[in-house]
Amino acid sequence: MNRLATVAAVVGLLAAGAFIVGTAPDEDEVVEPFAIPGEFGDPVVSPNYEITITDVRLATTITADYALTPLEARTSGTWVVVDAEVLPIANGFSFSNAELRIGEYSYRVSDLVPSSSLTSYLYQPGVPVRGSFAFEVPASALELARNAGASVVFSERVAPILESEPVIPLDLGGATIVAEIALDEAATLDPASTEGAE
Amino acid sequence: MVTTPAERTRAGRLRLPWWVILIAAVVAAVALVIALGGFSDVPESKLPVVQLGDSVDGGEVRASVDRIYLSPTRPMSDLDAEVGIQYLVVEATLENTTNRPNSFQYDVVRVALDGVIEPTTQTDALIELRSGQQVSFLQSGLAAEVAYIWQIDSADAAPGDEIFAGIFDRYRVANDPIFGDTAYTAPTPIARISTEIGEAP
Repeated sequence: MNRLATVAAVVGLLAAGAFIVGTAPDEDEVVEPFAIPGEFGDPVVSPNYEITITDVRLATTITADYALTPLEARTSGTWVVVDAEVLPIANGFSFSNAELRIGEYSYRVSDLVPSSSLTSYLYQPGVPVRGSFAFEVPASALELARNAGASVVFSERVAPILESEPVIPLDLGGATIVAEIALDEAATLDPASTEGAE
Repeated sequence: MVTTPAERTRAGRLRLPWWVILIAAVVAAVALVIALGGFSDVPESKLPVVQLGDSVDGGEVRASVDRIYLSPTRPMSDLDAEVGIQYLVVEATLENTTNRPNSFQYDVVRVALDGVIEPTTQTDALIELRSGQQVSFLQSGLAAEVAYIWQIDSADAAPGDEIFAGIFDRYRVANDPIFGDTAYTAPTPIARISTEIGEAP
């Protein structure tokens, strides 16, 4: 009887161990960032900044005439231009790893847009800035977005670890694709036009 | 003579010398290795040879080498090379076939130019032919026309010289004991192109 109990205990422990190993989160899940859910048009506050998405536009070509080397970039897919206002709370952050997520697919913000854009801007605490992010996506991505939804995720690193990142859903189905969008240079706003982040 | 049960057991047991047991164990081990194919010839596979413009699917990037030429001017710019230097330009089309931004682009294409550029030498620059800007990543599902650029001595190559280009891939090493589970192998060739260097367009 004692031997039977010992065997049962060992088998039980092994089964429990297998269950724990099998259901434990993997390393990526353990260190995954904390999403700060937001809404289109509403300010979303992260530890480093407050961001408000004000518009989403679609085009086949983007231009930027403000730069020393003007940009004219046509795509075989679609440019998704996300207009936003940023109120920095701290300095030392960047949007160069912002991503547009559509279903299982991630699209990093384009680095073709010349300085100064919201991607390359050197932010100063308390000085609000208005500008645009541009994401280049394949044509199939818009169809997928109608079914799977889309959101813009403001990651500060390529592989963020246990960091806060605003996640703001976008409605890409309601926007019309135009031939060209002329991007404006990122510019400071009157601080009185935005609510300060204390 | 009467034997006890214990004596009968000892007499009936086959007692082999230790060295016979050792040899038998070695023979059994070798037989097992042979049975599992351990001594079979290592299969040899030649690197596939493709032509300019042919697409090759790697695990992360679909690539084709479209044109190879020498130029005194850096592509997408008016920047002339220094005296005695010329640009070797390899134009290629790259498409990230994963569902995330990919940064393997610098290693997808390499060349071997006899005595000048080794296949292990990474490009000096990689630019996008649409904008002339450096390619910092490949967007998922979008084909990008790019140019790999090496600076070489003017005397080291001329139009018509033979050149080899390779399309490379890399493989993820699961549970790598040193680098964890995100390690990758060194770039590995998956296709080869043998052609002649062309004239500047």
